[in-house]
Amino acid sequence: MTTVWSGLSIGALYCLVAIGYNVVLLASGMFNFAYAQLVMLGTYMAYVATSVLGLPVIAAVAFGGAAVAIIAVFEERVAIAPLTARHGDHHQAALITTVGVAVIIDGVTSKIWGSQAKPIPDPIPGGTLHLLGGRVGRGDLLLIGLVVVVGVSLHVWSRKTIGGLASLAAAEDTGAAMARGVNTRRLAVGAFAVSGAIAGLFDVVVGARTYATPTLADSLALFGFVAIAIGGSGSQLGGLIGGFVTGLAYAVAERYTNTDWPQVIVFAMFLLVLLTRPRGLFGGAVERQV
Amino acid sequence: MNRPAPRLGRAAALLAAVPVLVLSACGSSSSTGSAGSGSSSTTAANESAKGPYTFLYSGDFTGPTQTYTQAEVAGLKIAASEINAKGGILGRQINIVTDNDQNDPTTAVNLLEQKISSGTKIDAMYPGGSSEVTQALLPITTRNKILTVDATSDPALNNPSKFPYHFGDSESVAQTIPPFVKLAQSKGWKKVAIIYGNDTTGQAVQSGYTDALKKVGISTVTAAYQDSSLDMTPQLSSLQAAHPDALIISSYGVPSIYVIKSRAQMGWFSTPAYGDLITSAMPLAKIVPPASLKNYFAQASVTTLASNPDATRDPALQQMISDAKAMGYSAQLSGVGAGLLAVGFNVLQLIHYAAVQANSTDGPTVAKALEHLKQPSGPYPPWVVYYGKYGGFNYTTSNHFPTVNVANFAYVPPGTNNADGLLVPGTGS
Repeated sequence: MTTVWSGLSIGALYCLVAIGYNVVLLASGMFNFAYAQLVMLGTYMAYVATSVLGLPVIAAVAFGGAAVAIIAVFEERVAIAPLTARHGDHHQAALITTVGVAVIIDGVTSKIWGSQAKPIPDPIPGGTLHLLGGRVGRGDLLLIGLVVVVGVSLHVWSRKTIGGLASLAAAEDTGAAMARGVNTRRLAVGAFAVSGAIAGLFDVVVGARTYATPTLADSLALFGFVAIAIGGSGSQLGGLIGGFVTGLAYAVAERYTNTDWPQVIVFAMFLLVLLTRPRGLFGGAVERQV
Repeated sequence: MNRPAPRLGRAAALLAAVPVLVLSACGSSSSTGSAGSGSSSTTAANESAKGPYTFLYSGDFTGPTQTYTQAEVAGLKIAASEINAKGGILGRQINIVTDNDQNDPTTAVNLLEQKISSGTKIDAMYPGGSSEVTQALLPITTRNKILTVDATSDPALNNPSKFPYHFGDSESVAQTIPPFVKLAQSKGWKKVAIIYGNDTTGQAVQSGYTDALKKVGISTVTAAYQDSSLDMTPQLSSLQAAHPDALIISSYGVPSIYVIKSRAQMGWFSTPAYGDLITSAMPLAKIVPPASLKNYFAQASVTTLASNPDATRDPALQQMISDAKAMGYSAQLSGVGAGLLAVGFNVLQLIHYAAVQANSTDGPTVAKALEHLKQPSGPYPPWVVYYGKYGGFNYTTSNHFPTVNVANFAYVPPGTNNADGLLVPGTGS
């Protein structure tokens, strides 16, 4: 069971990245390849807040949320907005510019904070506890719980509220949404702000698990992508399940097979889902005129 | 070696933040060695006409091992500064150029090929921070007769007939294993667990320990992890289930933190854990909570211990430390320790020393000089760590790796590096 808890906590990290991908995807139809870097930046914000500024955990969370939200909006203004203004929404070049932002964040992070891992204080001191036959960190339980709450909340919001439905409409057909009075530009900026805020608000919880390291984003980006591919891009619930499934499958494979198999197993799942359900387990069917 | 390889090498180096000898007998180009002094003025003039001495460092500047890369490059720059201040290598000022190969052999090969094809003259090179990268680059450097020296530790790289211009400046993996075998025998252990990174170096470490322990009747159980792993609980759970008497941790860079964190989260403190030299390169005591390091011991070179009198006596080491502080590398000293800076430092000091003896900066000629290196006459050479009772750069035509005395290694409680980059066991956050 300890392995299961390990898989769930790592899966929660993949869920978090999948949530961030989906928030932007749902509102603007764009894929923010720099999101894992925003999560990594959040951990550095936690380090700055707790170790440099000496702020309490709650203040560090607020600090991280605000700081990363601002950086995310800056990303949208600099790397996305000029392209959409010139070429219209859904411009493919935006994919490349977000990759560029990711590289810049990686470089700047290393330059400012160096390559040494920075410790982040555990938000729930007290170490680990025995639960359902396994050992799990209290901070891990918090991480898993918060990710589920945020993912489910965003799923409900996107399906049950005017704002959520408007963002779905904008992602599906920007022109039609604009014709119905939806401010798609504001939605896109808002999506980056919200996704950044989520990455920042998780700063302490994630940082206590992974430490603040300049290579964290690389470890998260790939499996975050696998999570939404398995769960279904555009589905917060799917991303949530995809993340946990990915984390669990990887951990169990690491526990019971040799080193070469975990990645093979996860990517075999990934391919199987893509081949049988191209839009993921929870992605909606696409209507096509024939 | 794979990426970890560098570790070992480096690790070794790390270990050693040691004393050195200074140039009582050599050091500057004018005072180093005596070979080739006959037509030295003419040769020096000819050498100077070649322009700057270009030294290429290929390493990982943005990945998980960038911490070590930066320390090694700092060591190179310190040595270059010292040598250049004395006139350079036979009048040629050293110019350090770097490639960020990200520990990827393909990237490393592409970057080197680009430099060579563009006409860049490379006099000598540090061919990668991992054994895998070094293995990929050596065929190219050998074909182009480029002198190479690095700290990657795969024994397969010690092949003078295949790679005549390549030398190691740190001990190989195999040299770090006997101390543990001796410890295991003295404790009467029957089964030992090993967790390692799934790369060339990690695999070499795993097979090295497994074979050595098997010879003395001790069985092993092993588990590996991928570089991208953020949690090693599954692997450690697998090992714990086998009820080993001890755990060997061979981990390079950030993953070593995750191994320690996972072990602590599992509460697996009853089995003593031993970090090898590679793992010891990471200043764990400075990063993880002290409680996480319960019943954990780090392999270290006694030459890197602050309590070792040689560390404060060695003029070359003290000069390197002083220069590091003056050049803004204090963070590297207290972070990864002087031993890792010594990896880069020793490379250029060795090349300089051999070039003076050869009276030439030509790669193959310097390589020949390294194989017949006339050792300094004083107690301390211009390089650090590998001298006297601790070991030495006693290369031959059949051995291009340094020698290391087994007694040089010790298992100590993890600690932190002091301001001089020397390890103080038992101290932490």
